[in-house]
Amino acid sequence: MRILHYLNQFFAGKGAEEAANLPFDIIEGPVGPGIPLNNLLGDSFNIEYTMTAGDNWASENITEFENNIREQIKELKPDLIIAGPAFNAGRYGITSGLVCEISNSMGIKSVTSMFSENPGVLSYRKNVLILNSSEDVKGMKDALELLSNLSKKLLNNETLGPAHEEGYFPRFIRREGNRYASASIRAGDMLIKRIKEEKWETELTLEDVSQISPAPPITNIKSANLALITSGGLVPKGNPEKQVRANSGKWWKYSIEGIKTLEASEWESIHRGFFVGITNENPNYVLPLDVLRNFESQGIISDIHNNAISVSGVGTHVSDSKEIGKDMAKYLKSQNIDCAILVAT
Amino acid sequence: MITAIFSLALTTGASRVIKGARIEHVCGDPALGEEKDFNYRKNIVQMALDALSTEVTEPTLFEPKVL
Repeated sequence: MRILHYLNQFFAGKGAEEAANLPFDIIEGPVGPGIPLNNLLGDSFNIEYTMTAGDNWASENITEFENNIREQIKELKPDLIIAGPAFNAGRYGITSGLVCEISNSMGIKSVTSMFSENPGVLSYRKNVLILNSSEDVKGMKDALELLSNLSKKLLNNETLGPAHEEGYFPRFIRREGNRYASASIRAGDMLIKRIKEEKWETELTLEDVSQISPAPPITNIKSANLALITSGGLVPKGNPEKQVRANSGKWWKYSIEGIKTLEASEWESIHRGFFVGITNENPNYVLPLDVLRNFESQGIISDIHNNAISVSGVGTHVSDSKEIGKDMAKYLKSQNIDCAILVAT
Repeated sequence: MITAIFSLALTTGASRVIKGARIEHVCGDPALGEEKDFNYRKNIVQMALDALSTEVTEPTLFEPKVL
């Protein structure tokens, strides 16, 4: 049985962020984590080709990327496509989800694996089989085992068990089956467990569907108090306050009072999630202060807040992001800020 | 929000999303040369200001001109 494996540039051994712009490529046989995965799959199933693309290239050239995947599927006629595991790598999770979605649309079974907070889960969980993985490569062994087990089931046309048994994210698909007793008895049992403070499990999970209502528009931008925020990991050169490069639980503010432009000699990005070389030659790419001061001198805007807000937005837990956002908003409100521009890398 | 990965921003619910150039240089493009790069950055920031002044009811994408 022919399997195609999709890996990003890093796991395909082509390099880290500096290789993120590499275009689509296809390699014969398994590569990187595909090698132990192939061993786990056993003799009847074989990773015959490994598809790979740089995370930036795939994200920025989506149509070309999609066409490449479709072409390979049409030509090679695989029995299964495996993507990842992507752990918490956001761009990689999204491209892995996309590869599987394309595969499914062409009638080829597929499976991928990533961490629960990977944005790929949010985007693809309904249509794609996504196994739950650890946050980082420490869980590679488990991730590959789950991938191999599920792959064998898919290739053998076995019916998959429910999500919590097989280890994938629920796809909201309902199937007929029998519960151990009628609903009234099950509800009673659940209540007794809760009263006794024993471990209990709900049958119905309510998803957090909280949508944020858009803020009303600014009526007069000329007189508005505007704050500048970046998740590009902007710091004064040398990172004096030792802002962390990833998994941030806090945010920082730096004075931009009287500063007309962000000079490469004074500022840098410490973001761990993208190649910062270009931004470090011109930090205005990640906080466009030069243009905003220009607009200020022309009267287009009149009030830029004295402190720029910065955080290194990579590997940030969703729960931390929410708290950081709320905290930033609290600070901005205390400073009578009307609106903010946030540059996200 | 100004970002190059705008579809992700829209999916996760950001209300006003301005399309940035690329992940490595969101607000501009060094390949354009200094003057055109600065102009591009002006277009992006102006679009951001326009977006702030626009009523939106759901995640909305704003696309600035490059040149």
